[in-house]
Amino acid sequence: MNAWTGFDFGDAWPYLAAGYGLFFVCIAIGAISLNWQKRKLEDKEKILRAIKESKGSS
Amino acid sequence: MYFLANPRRFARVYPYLLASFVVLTILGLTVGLVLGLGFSPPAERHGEMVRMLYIHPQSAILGLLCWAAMSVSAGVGFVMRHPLADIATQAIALPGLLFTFLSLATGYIWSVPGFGGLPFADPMIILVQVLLLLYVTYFALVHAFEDPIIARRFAGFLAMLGLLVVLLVHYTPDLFNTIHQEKGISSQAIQGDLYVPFIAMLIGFVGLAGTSTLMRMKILVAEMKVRAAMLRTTAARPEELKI
Repeated sequence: MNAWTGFDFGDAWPYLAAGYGLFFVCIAIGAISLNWQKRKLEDKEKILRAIKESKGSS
Repeated sequence: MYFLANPRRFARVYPYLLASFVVLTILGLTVGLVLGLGFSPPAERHGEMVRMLYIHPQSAILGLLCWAAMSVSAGVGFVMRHPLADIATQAIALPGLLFTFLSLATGYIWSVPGFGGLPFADPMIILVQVLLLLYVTYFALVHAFEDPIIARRFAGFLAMLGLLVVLLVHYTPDLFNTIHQEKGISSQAIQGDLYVPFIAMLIGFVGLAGTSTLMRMKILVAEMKVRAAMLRTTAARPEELKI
């Protein structure tokens, strides 16, 4: 039995660790890229605001 | 589809859609991981390695489904000339790429103890590698032009053409000799105790793809609006705008 306390995967554990590890790495990559896209958008919004302000003041 | 084609309507529906996908993700992955890693019994043939069943087929299915969804939305974008459809195509691409990569990687990992080596000559593996290459090419195309609308249109052609590869992958077990099974994901194909965590993980994966796609779509729509405002403010031509 491998419930709760056991988690005895025998010889398969390095493969399972690699497989499930990759799964979580992929989720992390997705989240990081989403955050990066969001930051890029914020930078663009800042530039737009600056252009609008400079046009308004001139 | 028509209902969501209006960006304002999309913005109204977005929070509800996102919340449902987040709930699906959390429920599916929690139930799937707890049952799959903690309670499902080892299988006759694969022993404990059968736990790969809870990530490998799901990622392969989602990798294919994402490209199929990209083909459909690229087709809608091409026929209806609707920018939101092209944005959806681009938003689906990254989760699709990651799922396809994960399916190949977990397949290789599973095959080492299961088949004593990497079966590189398997037709389904070759086709999924082609699909991964298509995803990478889509990204290259979508970033190759200064004007994102033109870039998405061009990349959309690839998305439509790539549907052929998805169909070939789907029918590979019927057409060629492969290590993958023909029965698909029915309860007859998967041993009883393994079926519930399998389906729970599949639901979780669908939730993940949906959440990621929706969040990306929202950012891309906002980017489109900022770009349009920038063009209006600076009176530049689309190809001159470097952001």
